[in-house]
Amino acid sequence: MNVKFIRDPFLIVSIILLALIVLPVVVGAFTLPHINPYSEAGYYAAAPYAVPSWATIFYGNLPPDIKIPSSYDLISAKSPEAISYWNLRNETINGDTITVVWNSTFGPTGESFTKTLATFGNTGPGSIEIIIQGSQPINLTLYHTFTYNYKLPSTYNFFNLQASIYYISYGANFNFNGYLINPKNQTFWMFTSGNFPPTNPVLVTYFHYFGPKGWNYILSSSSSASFTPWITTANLTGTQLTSASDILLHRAFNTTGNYTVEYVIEYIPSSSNSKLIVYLSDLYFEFLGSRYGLLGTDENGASVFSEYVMGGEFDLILATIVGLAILGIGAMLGLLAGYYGGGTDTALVAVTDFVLLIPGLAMLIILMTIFQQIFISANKALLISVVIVILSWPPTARIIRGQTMAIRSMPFIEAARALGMSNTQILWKHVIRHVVPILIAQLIFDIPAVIGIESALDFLGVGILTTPTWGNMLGFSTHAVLYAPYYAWWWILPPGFALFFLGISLFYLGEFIERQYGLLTGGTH
Amino acid sequence: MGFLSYAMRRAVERFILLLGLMIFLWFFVEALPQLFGINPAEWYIPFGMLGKSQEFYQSIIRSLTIEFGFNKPLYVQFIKYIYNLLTFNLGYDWMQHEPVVEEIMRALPYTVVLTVPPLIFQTILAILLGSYSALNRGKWIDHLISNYLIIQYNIPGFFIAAIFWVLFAVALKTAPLSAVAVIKWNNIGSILSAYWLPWIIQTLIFGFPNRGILMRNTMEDILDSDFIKYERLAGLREQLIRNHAIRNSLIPIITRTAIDLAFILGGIYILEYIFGIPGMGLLGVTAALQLNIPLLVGSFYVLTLYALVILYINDLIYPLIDPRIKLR
Amino acid sequence: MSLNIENLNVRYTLNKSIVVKAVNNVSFTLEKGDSLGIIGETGSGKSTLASAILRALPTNGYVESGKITFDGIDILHMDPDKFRKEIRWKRISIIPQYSMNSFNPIKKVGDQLVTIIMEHTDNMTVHDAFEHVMKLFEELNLPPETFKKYPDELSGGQKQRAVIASALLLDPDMVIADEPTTALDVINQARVVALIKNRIIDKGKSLIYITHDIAVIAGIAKKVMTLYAGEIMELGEVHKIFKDPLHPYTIGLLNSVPDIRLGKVKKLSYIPGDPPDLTQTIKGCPFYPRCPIAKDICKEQKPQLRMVDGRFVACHFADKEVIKNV
Ligand SMILES: Nc1ncnc2c1ncn2[C@@H]1O[C@H](COP(=O)(O)OP(=O)(O)OP(=O)(O)O)[C@@H](O)[C@H]1O
Ligand code: SF4
Ligand SMILES: [Mg+2]
Repeated sequence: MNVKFIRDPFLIVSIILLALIVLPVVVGAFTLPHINPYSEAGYYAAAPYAVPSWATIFYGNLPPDIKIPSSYDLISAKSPEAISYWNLRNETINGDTITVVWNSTFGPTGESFTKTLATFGNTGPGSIEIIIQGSQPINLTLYHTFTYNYKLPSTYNFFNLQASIYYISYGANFNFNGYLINPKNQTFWMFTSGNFPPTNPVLVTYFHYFGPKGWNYILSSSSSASFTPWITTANLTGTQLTSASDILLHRAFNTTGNYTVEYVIEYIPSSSNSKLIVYLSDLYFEFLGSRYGLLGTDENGASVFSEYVMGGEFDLILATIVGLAILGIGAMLGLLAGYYGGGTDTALVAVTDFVLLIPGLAMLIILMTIFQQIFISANKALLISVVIVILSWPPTARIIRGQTMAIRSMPFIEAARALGMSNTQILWKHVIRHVVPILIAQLIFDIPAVIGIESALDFLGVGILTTPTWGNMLGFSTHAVLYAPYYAWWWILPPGFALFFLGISLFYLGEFIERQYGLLTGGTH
Repeated sequence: MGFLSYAMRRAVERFILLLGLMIFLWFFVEALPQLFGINPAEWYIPFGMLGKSQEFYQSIIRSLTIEFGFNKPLYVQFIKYIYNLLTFNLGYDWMQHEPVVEEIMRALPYTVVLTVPPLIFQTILAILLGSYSALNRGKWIDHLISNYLIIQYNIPGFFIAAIFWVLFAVALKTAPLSAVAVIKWNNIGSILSAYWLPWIIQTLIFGFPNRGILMRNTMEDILDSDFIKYERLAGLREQLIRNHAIRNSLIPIITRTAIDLAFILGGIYILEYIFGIPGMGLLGVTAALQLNIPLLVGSFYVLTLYALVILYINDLIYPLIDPRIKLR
Repeated sequence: MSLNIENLNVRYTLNKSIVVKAVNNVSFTLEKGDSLGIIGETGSGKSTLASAILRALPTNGYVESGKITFDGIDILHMDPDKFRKEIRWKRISIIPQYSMNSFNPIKKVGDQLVTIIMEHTDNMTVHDAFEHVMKLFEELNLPPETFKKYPDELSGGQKQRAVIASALLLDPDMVIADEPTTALDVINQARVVALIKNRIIDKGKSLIYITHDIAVIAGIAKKVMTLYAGEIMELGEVHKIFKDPLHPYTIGLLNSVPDIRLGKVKKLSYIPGDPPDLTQTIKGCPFYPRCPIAKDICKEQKPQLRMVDGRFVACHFADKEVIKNV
């Protein structure tokens, strides 16, 4: 497109827009941890489809994430405060002595589970060491209370209760149970575990057996309510069973007020000198909230802002590299053909004519599909880049060729030749200098074009799918919109507008450069 | 006589391009994999078949290898490949269990209905906006229209399509979520209800801003040209002068529209994908996602062939609308 | 018919603050049957003057002050539509500069001429118009096929003759020809000049003939005007001025062509220096920086156009002996 009417206000607006799009990417790339939001490690920053924090102005007092405890040191028992946090102390109950110490060197390792942003485990040295000694069966309770005074949860919220545990038993059995107690004093039994199975046969299914060796990780979630012992107490009808998770969540969080997270160790000695040593760490309750960060969360509860940052970083870097490659090839061939003319020129025109004839996106899809099967182990981003370069250098070469031809016929080149400069010298000294502004403008035009085509591939599911890009964000969000609350606008709009604003601002910027430094050959696009 | 030899020469040129394209396809689809030691026959078999017994699998591979001549020297394969393409023997789709040509013939009407009406709307719209803008050059309305066209040009098509789909199909429910189930060819109402939204989007995105800007810039140049000044000198009515300016500006627009028409089928992946229109675009995307190479290549070949035919028709009509073109 | 121009000033705006003073204080009269040649270097305002008469200045140009009357009618202030219908082409027509591109490239030449006729007359049928054009073509020695040809299918000479035909379509009282021969080869130049002489001057129409080709003026015009920086330097009878120019600029111009006074070829000379910057106000004589006989007074005081030896001259020394030595 050849445009003759761009005004400076547009340039300023363009630069502001560009900053608006790119700055968060740059800042985020340096400050955010590089966890892939498309892998489980990046899931559950909050509940799925949490709205952006600031959007509570539209949606009212939605619950945020509630983390008990909220600091990593307390969760992983890296500091002795963990003991008082869970209301533990040395005491004697029914003649049994309970000793609580903080062990700074021994902590959870070797557990196997898939980690998300809402879970902790294998946190290393640091644990609460509880020694129970005596002949009487007793219950030792760890608890912590928090206040919930937000809107009641929606279907997407859920809560987790988890722990890492290690024990040494000298003739003692024990059970380790987790509960949530709501302000109406209703108790929700989240897990039961221990080193001997419960006598009630119904409960056996829900029981986690701890072997005598190693750390045990236990996670119970309201989102899988049918695996919690609560299900045995809930009196659900057949149809209700299919939505047990929802029912658990809404029964538990049915009012505002003080909630209590409770872990109970049931000590069952077999003789008078029985003794149990329990090491606890990663004691953690999380309620996954409905509001999160700058841009909320996606269908997996992953941070949309992280996706935006990583997607933008990927897109911009890829587009710059691909743009430079297109420019390199296009400029080299364009300069040679434009300057020397003759056979080189004819060949270039023929090849570019041919490539320009091919429906681009279709060819891209075909080559991607074929290359993926030939070079099975090759990096997909690399494949896409190569294919885009193969299909995209011709227009650039044509423009550079035109510009070079225009320069070649200008008087100062004649003069240079008359002065006895060689072709190569002239090429370097004069032609390159006059072509450089066009090259820069061309790079600026190519970047959004590359991002656009790459995004289209990702959007269609033919391109990159396992790490965020703006294109696949838009693709995934469009698919999710059917089920998402509020049409997940915070997920679908940022990548779309980023692509849009990037394109428009770079377009105006490129046109500005072309206008400033004079394109000799007229139309470009 | 001049026209006939021109038509012949152009036909030969277009055919050479077609040949180049077929060589290109053959190289990537059949030669390249063999250079890397892959028997392309394996690509013609769906993953589902891998579950079947080994003998069954091998027998299919063998029959395909013989059918396509993958056991023959490359040049024999090449000739066979070109021959197959030219005779529309596009192969058999082992996933859907039907010949590729049939799938394509079934998909084509959906795409034609999707693309042709918008092409007409958008061309009219581009001409109206572009000429109005040029006639009011420098005024605010010109800036408004021109910058709207630039902005429109830069909004990614899939973003517009996605947002419109969310708005009208998901939120307002005024369009079907997916057109496949809705369209009945014998029911105009069903066609309208499924197509109205994609039509609007296609009108706005595909080639529309380019043609609008082209119209504006061409008309701007023509309004400045000597013959328009002369008509004004000679005392023609302003209305008549404008009509002449518009008519002259239409020439590049017509060519551009023809080129757009040629490549239109390649540009509908996104729309068909989002709106569930089972045309050529959706066929291509599905083929790519399923790694269904015969279908993918077959549909691509048909699209390109179609593009070449349209471009050739454009070659033929162009001298008729622009007397300046000498029949080269 | 008579054309009367008084103190005409034409300006072009380049941007908000810069104005090009293209035509300054120009006054002259043209009677029926008069033919006036206008000469001057490029940029001296010849075409601007012609456009002003036809009210066809580019959008950034305007008449700042002055009066143009045609048969006593103030054409500058006439209703534009009336001017278009009644004056243009009917009374005054023009062969514009760069007339090679005057025709619409995608319409047949004849059709374009018919359109012009139809636009100006109410009582003619298309067939009459066609006949009229064909007759004119015949008179101008254009083959009848010309009617059905596209402009690009005509040769340069044919095209120029078609433009002349166009100018004569409605039998105007006055024709302005702005460098009608520039783009033509020598033979076609002679043909076009002959045509203009036969079809315009000999038919008693008035003619303004703008050119760099002084020899042609000598051949066809009665009067001649030299323009410099948009001002009249000398204006009078051709035979008087060409034989005995009184303005140093006219002398310079005449010296720069093969000598026609003595009838033999003389060494070509040109006037050293460049025309002044028309965006600046010139206090004294505009020719001062390039004038070989300039004195201090020329810098300070603008010479008035005055009658000397039977023609108008704008030079302080037009009646002095020095002029003879230029
Ligand atoms: N549209 C315009 N805008 C600004 N300045 C103009 C415009 N047209 C002409 N000029 C300036 O006005 C002055 C007179 O121009 P004009 O075309 O009348 O000269 P001319 O005598 O016809 O020259 P030539 O012999 O080259 O045709 C010149 O300085 C020219 O640069
Ligand atoms: S007035 Fe002076 S400067 Fe001007 S032309 Fe006469 S002598 Fe030369
Ligand atoms: Mg001129």
